[in-house]
Amino acid sequence: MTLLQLTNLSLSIAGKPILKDISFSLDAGQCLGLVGESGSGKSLTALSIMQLLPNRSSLVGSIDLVGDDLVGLSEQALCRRRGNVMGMIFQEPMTALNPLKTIGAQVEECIRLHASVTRHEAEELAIKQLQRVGLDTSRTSPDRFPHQLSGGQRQRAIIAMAIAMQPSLVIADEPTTALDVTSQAEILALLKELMLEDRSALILISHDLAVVADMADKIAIMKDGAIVEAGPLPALFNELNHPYSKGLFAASTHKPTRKKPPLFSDAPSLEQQKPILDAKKIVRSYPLPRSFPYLERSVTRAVDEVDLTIYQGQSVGLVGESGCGKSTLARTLLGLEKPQDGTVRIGRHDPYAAGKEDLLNVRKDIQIVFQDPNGSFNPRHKIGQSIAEPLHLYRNSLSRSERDARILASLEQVGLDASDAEKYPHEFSGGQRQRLALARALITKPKIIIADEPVSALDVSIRAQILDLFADLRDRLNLAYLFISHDLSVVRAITDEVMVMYRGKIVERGRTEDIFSAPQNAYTQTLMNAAPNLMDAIDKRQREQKDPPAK
Amino acid sequence: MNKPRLFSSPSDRGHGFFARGLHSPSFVIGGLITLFFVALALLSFVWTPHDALSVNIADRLKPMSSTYWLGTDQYGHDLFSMIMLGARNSIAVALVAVGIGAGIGVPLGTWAAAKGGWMDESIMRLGDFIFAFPAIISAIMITALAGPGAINAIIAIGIFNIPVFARLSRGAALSLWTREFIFAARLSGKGSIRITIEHILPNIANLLIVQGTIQFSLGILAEAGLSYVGLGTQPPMPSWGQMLSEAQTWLMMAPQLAIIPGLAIILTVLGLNLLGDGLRDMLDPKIRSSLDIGGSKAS
Repeated sequence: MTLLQLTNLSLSIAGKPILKDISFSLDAGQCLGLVGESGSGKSLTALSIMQLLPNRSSLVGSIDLVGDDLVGLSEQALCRRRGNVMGMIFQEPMTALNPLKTIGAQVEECIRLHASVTRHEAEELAIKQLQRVGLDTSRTSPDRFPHQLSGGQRQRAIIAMAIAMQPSLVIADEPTTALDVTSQAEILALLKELMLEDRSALILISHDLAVVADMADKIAIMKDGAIVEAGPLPALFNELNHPYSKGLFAASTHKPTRKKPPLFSDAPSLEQQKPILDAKKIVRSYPLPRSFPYLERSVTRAVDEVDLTIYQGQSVGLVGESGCGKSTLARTLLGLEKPQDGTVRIGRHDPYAAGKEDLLNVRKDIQIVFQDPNGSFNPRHKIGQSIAEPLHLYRNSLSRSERDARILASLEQVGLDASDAEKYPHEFSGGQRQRLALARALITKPKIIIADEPVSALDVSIRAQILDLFADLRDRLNLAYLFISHDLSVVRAITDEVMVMYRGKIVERGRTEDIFSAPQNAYTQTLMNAAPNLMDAIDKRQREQKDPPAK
Repeated sequence: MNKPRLFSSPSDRGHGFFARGLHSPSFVIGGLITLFFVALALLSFVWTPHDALSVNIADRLKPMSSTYWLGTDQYGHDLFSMIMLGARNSIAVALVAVGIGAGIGVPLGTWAAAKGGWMDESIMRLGDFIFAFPAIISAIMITALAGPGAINAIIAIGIFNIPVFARLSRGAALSLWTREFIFAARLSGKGSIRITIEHILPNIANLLIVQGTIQFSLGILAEAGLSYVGLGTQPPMPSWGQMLSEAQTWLMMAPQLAIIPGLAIILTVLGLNLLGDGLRDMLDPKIRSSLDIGGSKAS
């Protein structure tokens, strides 16, 4: 039975066309994956169905939900449907919940709006829904406020609100993008289970093909506000036609080609060499607020006795959940945050003990590329000025022409033009800005670059290009990388060795392929199992299709 | 995905900036009023209709006429000329006071943000201490101690402005210090003073300009208040507050003596506040994005 039918839906906002001729249908209990890069119109398709569009938008076409056309329906009639027959799950659970209300009250509100029940009954129903999403009320009281919950728990509370009335359609807009890999796997499993229980249809919006490949019965790939290709899963992956969807698929499984074999720490060639970055037993702890004015402060160890060595030309990955201390470790290694204990050596020097002169030289050897391409550059400085900033380390020993030559060489190394130096950061796309960040890092001819989630904010196809650039620069300039990421597929694609960090400690280190194929540590195993993998997901789906699991 | 930017980029200040300003009524009206009083004040240096300081008892308490545009007061001073000199006086006092506030407050605030720790705490708590006194009371205290006069009024108002600018610049600077381009600058071996000058100040200038116009209008009010109680500008130099206070005696016979300087104060303060609001609307991307296409969120 067709539950939702979109016919030639077109949306324009303030005269600017956003969606073009979107048509698809969805049966009860089915899951549709809506995939595309940022700006492709995925979210606005979802908001069109919910009729929660911004001002000055005009919608043409029809959205048929159980026999009613939602386009042009009165606000009152829409309010009866929102949260009742259709529910929505948002990307950022912190902003989707009201911080001033308890989670119990927020679920209850949704129930009382749509069902004629007493306050007491609504309260009981809300508790039941919270239990359904795995927020056991004996451990997670419904009287808690959103800030008292973890990211995964918050997302569960949002799901409880969305499914409270057992709607026939649930729209999940990037429901796991803001979460760690392990919580992502749990949330996806939960969604799957709930859809089965309620026989609801699910529209799952994601930029991650692997997530969709695992969950969806059907997939629609969007680009520039139009669906370029759609079909059933997993069959569609074998017969992709449109060049864009082929490209997207290729980029999702992309692995940069290596010109050199991976370099392992136990390689015989490294026996006489000194590591370029050598850290021993680093501890970085932060004081917690006192619970009582005269009590002693307790401390939290963000980085707990971490040992780390990286040799010239070696790229090492650092993976772990958010808050496990990855970024703190990076800042400590860079010489920006003095560790309480342990030593850091960059080349021959300890940045925390080096004299002024030595410190300048140390800093030339180690540079960083950040995650957020928007925040990496001062918006008021021209790119040339920003890129040349690390040349301050040379004080005044470089002449003007030498400076300019360095800027030009850096820009060329990352595939940009000399004319780009005269532009401002906002004139570049996210991918270009990440190239510029690399150009800035390269300008001092460093031996090692720390890359803190360098591709997390980028779209899949851009991500593939930037990874290629990283790999290419490593091979050409014999650079070493410390590649920090929560995205395991990225780390797998670029590193020789991987370290797994958990609660401030390194729990496992080894060759990348070994760690991925046969993780030893229990936490690493959980992490590996939770990470979505496109090829594995397709394999699993195809096997299931051949002999369907007994229901 | 277009994230709303916290701090506007240079292109926002290009020629499109003032074109957008013309669409903002508060910017246009506020700007015109402010411009009018600034022009009056500047003009008073070279020309006034009459000598505002000369006593002319024969022409006392004249109504409005073609000779005396706004009439004369009890000593025969031309009211329009006095308003012009008063404008010069008010603007000068408020401008210097804002200059003192920003000149000391901004370095203190950015310094507190850069250093953090006990330095930050002590600077900001000192600011709280100054804040705890109502502005006008502390100004009266200072002028009472140091004696009345325009200079002391400037100092009194200026001191009150310091914590305002210190707080604002500290808050904005703190949020910038966590940004990645600041990390990059630190890695380039730049010290906190250099980073503040190169990276922090240009990015908080917008906020400071908006706050400056608001403090400017508060300064004018404060100066009028001080002069009204006799602690500000001393006669024979006229000022709006002092004109108001002298007009009290003649309120029944010549109400325009009180109404006209009162209107001048109201209009200037209103104009500056409108200008500040207009500037804020134009510079604050959070408000501006709601004027743009629906936040243009599409991902």
